[in-house]
Amino acid sequence: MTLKSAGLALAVLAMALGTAAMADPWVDNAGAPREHKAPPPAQGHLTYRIVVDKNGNKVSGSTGTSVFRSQAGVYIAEFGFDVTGCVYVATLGRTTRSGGVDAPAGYVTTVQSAGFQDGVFVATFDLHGRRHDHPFHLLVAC
Amino acid sequence: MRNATLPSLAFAALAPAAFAGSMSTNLPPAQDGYAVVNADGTVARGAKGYSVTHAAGSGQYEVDTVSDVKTCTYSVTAGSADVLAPAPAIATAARKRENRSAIMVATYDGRGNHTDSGFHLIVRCSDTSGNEGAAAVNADGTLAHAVGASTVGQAGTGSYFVTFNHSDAASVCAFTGAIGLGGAVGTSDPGFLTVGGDGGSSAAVRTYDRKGNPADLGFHIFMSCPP
Repeated sequence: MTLKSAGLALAVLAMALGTAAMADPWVDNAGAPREHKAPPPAQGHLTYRIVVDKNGNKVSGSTGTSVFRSQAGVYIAEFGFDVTGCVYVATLGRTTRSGGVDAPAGYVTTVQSAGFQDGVFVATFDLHGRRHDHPFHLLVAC
Repeated sequence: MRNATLPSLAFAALAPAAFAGSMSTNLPPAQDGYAVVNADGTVARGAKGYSVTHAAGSGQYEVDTVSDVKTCTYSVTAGSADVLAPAPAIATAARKRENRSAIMVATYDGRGNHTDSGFHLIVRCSDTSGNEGAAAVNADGTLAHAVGASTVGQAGTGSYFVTFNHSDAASVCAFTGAIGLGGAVGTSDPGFLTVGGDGGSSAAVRTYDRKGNPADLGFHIFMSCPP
């Protein structure tokens, strides 16, 4: 968490200074050292999951998963093991068990995190292609 | 729907000689798989034997697997194989009539035009763990095929619910999906899909056209639950 906090502070500083020189993994998913993580555990199933609300809180998910939101429409979901060789599919979706407000239509993209080998960089967008906070469901298959 | 219209013909024209050899009826049984494909159609990583045929600028990709995936379900998300976040794009998936081992993925920009985009694709054909399920659903709300899912209903335009064989799916499972054709072939109109728990063993699915208006569209949905 210390590393993340430092990175976020750098991102805020960079934005405050109005410079793009300080590429940051929590904002643009670039320019950060990689943390080494163990390979995916050998289990009977190969799919891991996390459900995230629009504020970046984990609602449910596989053991060891976590997530944080770095800025509007940008989330990094961590799985606790190296996911760089895995595949990530995400869908916008409400996080309630039944009923509630549907997630609005929008775009979602997934790439591996630059900063964390166990991370998936998820970006959510509105219908106009602008980054916008949305809840989502993410599956990782390894 | 663009079923068997120009996009399908475009797929058929990509590499007919290559496709002809893969129309065998002696394919291995359906096997789960995955692929991460770059925008140029190269396979960054994927299940053994997976390959892609793509014409630059077409926004269409034929993913050739090594088994009969006709009755499998596909979840696809626009993305890249590295750390470079792509422009937002819609990705849809459908099977190919002429080739039971092939999946057609189409990618679109916000205007509904085909555009090249990388994507992540999971193919689900079975549930060996008992904790996963998948369903391919037609636009009229009928179930095309499924693994670990029993029924589908439609509550209104673009509003569906899928009942899985997991009593607590809405509470503890995650759902992903993509717009795509169920039992049909061709490519789907571009659109959006959202998911959510619908109480008990059901998931709610909402489908929208590319402008965000509720619209009846076929889709594929996955369920993943804790062991």
